[in-house]
Amino acid sequence: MEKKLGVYICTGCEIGQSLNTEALNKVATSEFKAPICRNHTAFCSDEGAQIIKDDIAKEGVNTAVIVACSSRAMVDVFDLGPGVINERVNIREQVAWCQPPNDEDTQMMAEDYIRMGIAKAKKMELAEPHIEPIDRTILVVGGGITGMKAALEASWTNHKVVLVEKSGQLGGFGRKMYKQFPKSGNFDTLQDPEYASLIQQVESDKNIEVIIEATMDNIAGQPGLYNASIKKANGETLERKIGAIVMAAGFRPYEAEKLGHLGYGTSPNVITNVQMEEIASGNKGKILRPSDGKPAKNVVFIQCAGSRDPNHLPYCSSVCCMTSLKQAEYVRMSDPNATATIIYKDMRTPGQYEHYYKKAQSDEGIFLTKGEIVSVGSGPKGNLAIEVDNTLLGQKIMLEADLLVLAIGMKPATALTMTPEEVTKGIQEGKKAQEAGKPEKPFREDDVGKPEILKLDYRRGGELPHLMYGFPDSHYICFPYETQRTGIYAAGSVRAPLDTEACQTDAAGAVLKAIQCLELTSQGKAVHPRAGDQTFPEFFLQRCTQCKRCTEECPFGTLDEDEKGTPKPNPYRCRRCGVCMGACPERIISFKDYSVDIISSMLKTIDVPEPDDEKPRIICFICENDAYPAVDMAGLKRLQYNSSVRFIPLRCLGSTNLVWIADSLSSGMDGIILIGCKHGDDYQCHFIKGSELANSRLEKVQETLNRLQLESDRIQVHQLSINEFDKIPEIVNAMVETIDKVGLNPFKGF
Amino acid sequence: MADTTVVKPDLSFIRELKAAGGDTLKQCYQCATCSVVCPQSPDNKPFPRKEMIWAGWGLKDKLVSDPDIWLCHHCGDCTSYCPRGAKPGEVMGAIRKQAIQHYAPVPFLAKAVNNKDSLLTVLAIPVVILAVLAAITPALNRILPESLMHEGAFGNFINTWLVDATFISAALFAIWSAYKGITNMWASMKANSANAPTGNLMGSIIAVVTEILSHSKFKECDVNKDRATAHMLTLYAFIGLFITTNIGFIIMYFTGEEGVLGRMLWMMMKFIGNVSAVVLIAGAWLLYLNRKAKDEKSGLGTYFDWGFLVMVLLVGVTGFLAQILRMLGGVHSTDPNILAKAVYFIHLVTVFYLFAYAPYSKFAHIFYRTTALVFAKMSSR
Repeated sequence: MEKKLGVYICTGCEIGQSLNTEALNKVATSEFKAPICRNHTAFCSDEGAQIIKDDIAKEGVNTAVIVACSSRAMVDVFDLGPGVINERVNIREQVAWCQPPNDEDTQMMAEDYIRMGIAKAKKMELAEPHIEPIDRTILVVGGGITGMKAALEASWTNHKVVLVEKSGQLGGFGRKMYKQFPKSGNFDTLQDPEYASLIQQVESDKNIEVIIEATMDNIAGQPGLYNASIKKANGETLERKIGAIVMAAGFRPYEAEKLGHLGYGTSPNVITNVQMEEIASGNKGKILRPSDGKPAKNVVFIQCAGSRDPNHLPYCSSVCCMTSLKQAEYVRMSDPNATATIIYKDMRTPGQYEHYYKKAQSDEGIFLTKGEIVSVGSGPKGNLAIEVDNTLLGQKIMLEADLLVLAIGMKPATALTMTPEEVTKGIQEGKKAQEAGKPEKPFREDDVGKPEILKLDYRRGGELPHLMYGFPDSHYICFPYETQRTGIYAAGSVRAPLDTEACQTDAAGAVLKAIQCLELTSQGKAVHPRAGDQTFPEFFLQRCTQCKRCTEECPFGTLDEDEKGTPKPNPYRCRRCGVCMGACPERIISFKDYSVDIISSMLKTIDVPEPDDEKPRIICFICENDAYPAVDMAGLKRLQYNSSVRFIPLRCLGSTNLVWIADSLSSGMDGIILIGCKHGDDYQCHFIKGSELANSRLEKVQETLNRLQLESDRIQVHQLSINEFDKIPEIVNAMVETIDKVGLNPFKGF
Repeated sequence: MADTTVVKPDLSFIRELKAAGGDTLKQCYQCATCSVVCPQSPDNKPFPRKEMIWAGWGLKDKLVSDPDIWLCHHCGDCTSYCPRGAKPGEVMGAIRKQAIQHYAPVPFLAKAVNNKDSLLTVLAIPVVILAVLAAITPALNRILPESLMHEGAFGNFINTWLVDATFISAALFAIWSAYKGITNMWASMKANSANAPTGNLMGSIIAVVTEILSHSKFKECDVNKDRATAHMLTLYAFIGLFITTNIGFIIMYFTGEEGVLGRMLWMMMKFIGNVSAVVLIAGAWLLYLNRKAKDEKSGLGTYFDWGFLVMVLLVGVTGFLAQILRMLGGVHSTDPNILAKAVYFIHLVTVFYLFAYAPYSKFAHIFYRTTALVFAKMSSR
């Protein structure tokens, strides 16, 4: 495509008062020979926008560089349509609003941004979306409350559904329940279980194919184009074309056998809340002791049995408090003279459930106290004796019970079935076996210890990567339902410990995500978080050295590989973060509008002051997702910082290719800052591991610099939350001070 | 395990407390607002928070042996500030009622006195006794020698010897009941209290009596400030009536109405008695008004409270009325009309009720509270 460049330099929003517009125009017209360069006091106005549209229509402009506000502002106005290459240069938030007006350095800064913008626009190409006909069937794995509701929700939006259930009947854990939490009205009345009506709806729904007594045998392909093999108990294998997957594999109760210190195993009358539910539903509400089948008179519940405990489950399962209150009501309904005593760490009855808690509090036969269990032993008349300290009664107390219920928490079905030590051992053995001979299938480290649920045919592993504690989320708060595999959405108690009501909300949420995936995929667009992005990574495979770094580092398992290790892209699995691009030492991975070369070209257009000027130049790579908005906000708040910095936004800090560091240093940059999202357990990276990967790559660079006698302080990596805009001046100014100390880049001028 | 208490929630005790006016007790979620706003509560182990959870758990033994339940003056500050509507003041009242019943040496009587449904039965006892006495009075008066005849105003209606014998027996019964009750309570408080009552007994008694007479503690209550005044009027009225009764006794059995001493005593008796009666009526009426006006904020009370209050009011009103009605027939008339007799009869019934049942009704607080206050003083509470 022959490019015709149009540069539109806005003078509104204090830009015109702060900068010399004529000089800015000159950068475009003289340095870059832009055939069209226009000014307007508000290109975002109807009149201003019309100027650009007219140029596109009448002058044949197909590459527009809009030099104005942040690319995060006026998105709709400056959307020039699919046929136009469009680059936004931000001289408002990042120049006019954060630098002294009519200053030489401010002017230089703005001119550099225009140079970078035009250099980028010159290298950018229009996206060529990858569009294939896709299948829109949604596979739901798990036929419990969540799975059934997901199937129904999908069906109601006219999607075909394949619902796979491992056991011989639908209903899942919902079947065990005698009563369910209240979900309407005054929230004080228990409800009858609703699995039966869900089953009836699912079975009469023509869009839903129910396959029971079946497990997944293999899922190959990518969103929109999955081939799923479903193995039935009778040995038969069914093949289905699938578009997206909702994983509703549910939970396992925590292993009560590990709770010997709470008396589990010492008496048949020490049971779990799951067993309690079975007793209630098995005896139509009568609470009978397992030891002799007689009605229970004094029932004690211990909350957080193995929950919120670093030695067991470190988290709160959120439903056990309500479950125990509910089961306390069972006790009271079963026998009005029976008592139920609940020992808790904290009662957690979220939302409207508080009303049910209040109702239980006012029941004369329900006793509630905070407390720590000292011991569970045997008491008089074959009863259990529970010693509790730090109670609300202000003293250590001894309770007698003829039935003790341990309120155990929930583990996701995806949780490891091995201890961490066993996993390490399993990995070692697996690797050894692979080196020694030819195992039936390639050994995949990530699969060790994980229960087989999806059996994905992915190079990086057959199951979903875990976030924390075995949950398959990618980010609990920011991206619920999103797993680390595009097109696969977790819902229900596999995603987080949830009650039946929340599971059903979750099912709807995950189905909406699956539908969004199908819609965007069918248009060749990225799903999440760069929704709508039509570019995808292209591999210049002739130069690939099969180093496997891209296949290893992709956080989403996008890339499979052949026997030699050459990557096999699956564009619909891709989230377009560019981590592969950053990882590739051969620099053969690029996007149409984002590549190693494009960023390098931008770097090289920056006007580096001569050594004699004694003015440092600092390049700052910033993550588009958190750091870039933070810099914008710093401008919005009129925070001032040193004018020697030049920001370059990246899709993700994980796409940082080390060659940029080398290029920066050889172009005479005195300092390099990288600002990414927070990583670690509570990471905020949109691409899970991007900023962490950049960090570890840069650590190696800093070692190299030290070897070259080039001060490693010249390169700094920071983690920043979106709201920490106040730290931007600190970071920039600190780098300037560092350079003052260590001196300018000695390579300058070479 | 020595410091561990075996806790057995007692469902029937909880039900009793609920029926006794503590129906809100389970609402308590132990925020301790009550203990913070309470002007009476000590800093160390304050009440009524702990009593609320003991009540919620049905821990009767702990409650009845807790001196703190008697430190509460039922002013209702806690009830009016309780964010959950648990009405700790009402619950404390119910606990005290249960404590009175618990220590009562004749349990069925305690139950009957405090149960609205058995009011008639309870009243029937004095009614029957007094009716019998009235019936035998004419015959007795005929055979009684002149020297043993008293110039009692209603002596021709019911013989004064018989009245005195009845009421002295009733008083002895009440004293015996109260003694049994307070000694039992003292023993169980001693057994269950963290602090032993090691202080000076006489000193503590004097301090407590001074406190009661001045109502210094009661006046610290906020929401029900005026109840302290009303209660003090009632208390002093009873003291006045007690003095009146004793003077009457002296006149009747020792001095007679004649002579300088007799006439002086008679004047004193009439003066103190009438003033006390007016004060009693006024105090009880004020208490009634106060309870009615503050029911929203500090709780209305129960039959336990109302039964007692009404009885106090009746004693005052009937006593005063009987005197007036009798005097309609002349200041020294010994032949009262039928209406005067009827009112006098009612007066005697209510007085009997008040005194014979004192350790079983709300009146018992005069014994138990005083004892508990002394205990608290002695154990530096």
